[in-house]
Amino acid sequence: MNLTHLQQDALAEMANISASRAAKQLSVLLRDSIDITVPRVEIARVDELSERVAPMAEDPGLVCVYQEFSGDLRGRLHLVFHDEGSQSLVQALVGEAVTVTDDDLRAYEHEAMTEIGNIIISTFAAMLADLLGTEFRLGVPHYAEGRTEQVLCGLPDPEQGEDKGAIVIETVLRAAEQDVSGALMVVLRLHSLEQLLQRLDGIVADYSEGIPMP
Amino acid sequence: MTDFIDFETVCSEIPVGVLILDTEFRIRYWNGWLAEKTEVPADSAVGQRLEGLFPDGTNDRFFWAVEQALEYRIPQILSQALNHYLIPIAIPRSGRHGVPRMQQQVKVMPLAGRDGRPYALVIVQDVTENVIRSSALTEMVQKFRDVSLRDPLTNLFNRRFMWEWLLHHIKEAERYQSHVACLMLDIDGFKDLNDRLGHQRGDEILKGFARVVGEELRESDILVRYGGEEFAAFLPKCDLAHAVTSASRILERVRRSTIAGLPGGTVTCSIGVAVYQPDRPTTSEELLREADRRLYEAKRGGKDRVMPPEAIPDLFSDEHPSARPRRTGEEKAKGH
Amino acid sequence: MATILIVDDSATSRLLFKAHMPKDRPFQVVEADDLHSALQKGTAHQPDLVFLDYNMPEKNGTDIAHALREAGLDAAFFLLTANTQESVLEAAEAAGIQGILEKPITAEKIQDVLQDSGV
Repeated sequence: MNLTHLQQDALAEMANISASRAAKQLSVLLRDSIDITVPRVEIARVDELSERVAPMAEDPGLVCVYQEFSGDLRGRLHLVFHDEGSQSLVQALVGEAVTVTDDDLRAYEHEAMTEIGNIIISTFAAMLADLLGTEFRLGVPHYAEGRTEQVLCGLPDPEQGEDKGAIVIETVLRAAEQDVSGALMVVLRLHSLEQLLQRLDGIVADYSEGIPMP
Repeated sequence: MTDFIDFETVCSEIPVGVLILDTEFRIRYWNGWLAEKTEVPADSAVGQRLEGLFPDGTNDRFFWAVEQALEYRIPQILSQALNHYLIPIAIPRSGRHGVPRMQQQVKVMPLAGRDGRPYALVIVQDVTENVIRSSALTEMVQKFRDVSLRDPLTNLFNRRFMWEWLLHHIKEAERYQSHVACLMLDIDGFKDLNDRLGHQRGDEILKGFARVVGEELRESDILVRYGGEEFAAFLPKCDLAHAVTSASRILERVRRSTIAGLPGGTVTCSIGVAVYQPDRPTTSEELLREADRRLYEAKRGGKDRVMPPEAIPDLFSDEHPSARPRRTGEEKAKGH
Repeated sequence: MATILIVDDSATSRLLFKAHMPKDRPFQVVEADDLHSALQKGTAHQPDLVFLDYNMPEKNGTDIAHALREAGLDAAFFLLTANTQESVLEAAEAAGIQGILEKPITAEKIQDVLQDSGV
């Protein structure tokens, strides 16, 4: 399964725009300058995901915020960060918060990451809606953490049994002089994924002919 | 299936805030919980914008979230961790530290109206308890985590907590050459009130008194339930003049307040004031003893008054003629 | 005929930019996708206006603007970005950038800039 060069480029540009919007929103929320860049976009089979996200032998664990799609698109949007990265990010950003126990710190992090993930997922989904004209609904944000395999494959799955593919959008979030790398993953039923890519091709073709978007 | 009940009633009873905004960000629904907590009734809220009701400052994050819900129908979450609260609701400060406003977690959900237009359903949850529990106020709270530090009735700190707190703050006062004021408060004629109105009412009086006094204290102060109807307030970085002013203000406030449904003036108190001065260092025990002595003087002088420290150098000495033992027979009989 | 230089690492973005250029008069649009090609094309074509994407790998838009100025380009510089935070606005000002266009680009936004620049 592979993206064409053009599809890759178009998706990366879309992701860049939504990432910038998310960064702006996060900077308002966190009162700090935030930058999010998208170094790479690729497509993968769901069973390859763990490999792509955590190719290291040592699995530092993942933090994941996800929202379910329903409507025209069926699947799920996840934002994953490596555990350490997200911990130190939250602590750096909200350092003035005084918390006591590890439990309290974790609860605090979970809540903060859920909101941060919600913002990033939300801007991307809005971009999909705007550019591709897709009709869908997104569910509430959920938080999960643990070992990579468990997080990526162990989530409750209403689309179980259906063949699925994933668009993996690598992201780097820079805040408080820290770089946190992660990925935005759009896991969709193959059919939905094909539809999405077709629509993308259509738009690029329209522009190549010089026809502006309605 | 749901015709046995009216959903507006359900929304009014739900113990969370529920409000609905239209595409112009105007409030179209404001539930019972919100009306009660903010003291803004529904008919004053509907038609207004939130920033019109609470001009505390614009909340860009919230606006964006509502936009996302209205335009793209994507649910949004505003964590307490990063936002603290959406709607400013003051909470009583007696016994609480540094959390003067209700802490809230907010969710914004897309809602379709019968008219086909999009609306934003905003849910406001009070998560203050979680925050207070997890705020590291002082190291001692952590140390004593497994031991009860609070008085169950009033939720004020108890004596056990008080000693540790005092030890720490007097050390600080010594180091930084600052003051610590101690106010000993005793509800006048409590035993009579208790006997006359019943113990349940008596408990309400204690709770009400604690709340009223707490509201007059600063975030850095603490209020302790010292005995039956006896309370101690400690004010760090507070010198004599300010201590007396604060005590007088508390006295006035108690006089004016409706406590446990009793009209203003029914419940009064006497207050003894003592201050730790950096040029005359003493121990915690001595500070308390002095405040207690002044409280006794206040009672003796006719109650419903503040008795400041006497301006005599060897004030803290037990040899002093105005010194009284901590517990006398007559005080025991007051019914602690 | 005015010459426009568009510097953006995304082919799609450059495509969208060209598609939104006004159709009623001719322009020469030159494309570059990084610092190196920007310098090369810039010095060769001496554009009247330069549009730079902010978010690019290695050097960002404001850095490239600096470099092009230093290479002697006498153009009006504009930044393309979806991220209009303080830090970006400040960096833009420091680089002598005349204006910022918020992504996604529309025909109107480009038209306004062209008109204001007198081309």
